[in-house]
Amino acid sequence: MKYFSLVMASLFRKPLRTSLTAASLLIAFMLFGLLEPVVQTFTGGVVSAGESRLWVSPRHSISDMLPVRYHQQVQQYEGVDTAAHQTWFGGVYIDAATSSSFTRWAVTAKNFMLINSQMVLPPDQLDAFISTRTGAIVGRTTAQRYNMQIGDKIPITADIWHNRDGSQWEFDLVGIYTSAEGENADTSRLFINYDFFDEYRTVGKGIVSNVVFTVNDLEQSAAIAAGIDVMFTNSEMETQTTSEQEYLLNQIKQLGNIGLILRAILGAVFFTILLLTANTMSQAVRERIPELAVLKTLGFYNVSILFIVLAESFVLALLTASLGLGLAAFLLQFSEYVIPQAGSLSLEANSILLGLLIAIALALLVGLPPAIRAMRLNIADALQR
Amino acid sequence: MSNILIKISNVSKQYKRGKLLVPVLEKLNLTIEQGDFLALMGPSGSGKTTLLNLLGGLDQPSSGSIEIGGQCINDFSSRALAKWRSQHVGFVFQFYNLLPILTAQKNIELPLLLTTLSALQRKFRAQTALDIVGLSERADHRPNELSGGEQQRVAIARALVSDPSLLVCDEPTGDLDRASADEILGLLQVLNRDQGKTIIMVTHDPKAATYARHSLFMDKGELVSNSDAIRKETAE
Repeated sequence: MKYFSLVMASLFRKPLRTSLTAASLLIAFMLFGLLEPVVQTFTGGVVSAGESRLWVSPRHSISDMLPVRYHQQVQQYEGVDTAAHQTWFGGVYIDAATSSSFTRWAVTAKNFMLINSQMVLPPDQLDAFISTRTGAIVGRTTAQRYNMQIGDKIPITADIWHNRDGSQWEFDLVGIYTSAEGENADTSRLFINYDFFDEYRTVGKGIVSNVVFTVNDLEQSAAIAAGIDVMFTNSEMETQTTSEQEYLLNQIKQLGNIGLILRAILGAVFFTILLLTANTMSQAVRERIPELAVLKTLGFYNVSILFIVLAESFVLALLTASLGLGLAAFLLQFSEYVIPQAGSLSLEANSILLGLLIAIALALLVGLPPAIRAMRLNIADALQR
Repeated sequence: MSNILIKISNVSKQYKRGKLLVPVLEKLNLTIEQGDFLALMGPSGSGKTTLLNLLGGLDQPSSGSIEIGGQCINDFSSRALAKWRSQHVGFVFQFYNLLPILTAQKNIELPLLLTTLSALQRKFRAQTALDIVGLSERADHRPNELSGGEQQRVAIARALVSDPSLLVCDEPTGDLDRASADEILGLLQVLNRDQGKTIIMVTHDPKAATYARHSLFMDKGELVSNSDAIRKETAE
């Protein structure tokens, strides 16, 4: 502890250089803190979806649709507990930017809510959703973002599914759901009743995007999935039945491996920062060789010199990591306004720990080579410089 | 009555320059008494600083032995030598070698970081050392806020603060004007006379040497007699 003032004084020997290095490190750790929860969300969404829900989708393309009667056929298949169907509704809410912040689906209300037990909706609101043909429910994130209240009219302009009375649809908001899976779960989507939607749409009546179902016995999931696909072989629309986890994974894979891409970006950032900081630290130690030689002359042990130099890189890395992660945690409070689909993002303890471990590794990598060089200084030679 | 502090026996030192071994000191023998103030003179490259480094425990001889205060320091490990330096030797350099990032007081406290003294005790000792060199009012100044003479006084205070028996000074006035040099040399003389510090000072300045009790001359790695040296200086 008594060397701390010496370490700090050495670190800020050139305040501008140290400040710039600290700023670049701080930004790198802030970026890590901001992106890591996004990576976790992509991974977490897939994993937490649960294996018990199975999705029947068109085999060849996600733009194909299934006949709605598939729903009944799936429901009647042996081993299936509850089946529901859902259809991509799309449309424009207020404007394109607003619309992109949440998706809209037409569903069979009762069964859909039974299957998606993670969606929490008060019983009276559930009853209202089931019994109100024009009813709609929306997730907490979107409701808060657009200040939606139960009883509001939700106007949506059609882009795919036109209303037979014109392009404008209007729904009555009867419920706001939350998620039992925690703050990070997606609560952005809006759901409407399929029957009303199907009755009023001008084209495509009787088709749905997916049939979703649960099984009585999880052990039989694979057999049931295979059996359903066999049932629809050589039908008007062949199917591919997968777990929800696999389905979501396939959707994300169409964009690329998001987690890998984000981690590659972070890796590149940290590698660049590593080189810059290593160069700065080496330069700083090179400039101080006579001073370090004086310390050794006064009787500081070689190992003390090693730790003093190493402590500088540790202080720099850990201080900037803490500040960067803290700043990221603060900024993440506003994430749901920027990426509503991701829900409310937060920096988890394991991400903070990972950030601090990176800081320690960085400190060792940039601090150890100059520290070893300082430790090995020959006093007589160094004093002549 | 002789009271020998330093005894150098057959000390040689060579440096490796590529594949060549360059001899710097050749079978040197020397004794220095406790409380002496010795000026070490000679031309550049004569081996003065090398000898000073050996006496201060900054370097080890290639052969021979160096006994200081009854301890044979050439047998010491690097760690033991560092500890010995911190307890027995104070160093004063030509260019002061103060840490520019620290105040005068913090520079003086540096050797005390190696002791078990508390922060308050370190501060008190540093202030006392500053008093001795007459700079108590400059405690909070950084080296770049001090004149050359003042910086050298701070360096002397740093050398004194752990109360070593031996002060090793490498051209302590080499970077100072005459007036400042005389002040520093006077201070060293007081430390030698009043506090009994043994001082070994390398200098090129004959006037500086007059402040010492004795002078020794070196040439080509060997100690030469006073008359030889004077003859040589005259011939040059």
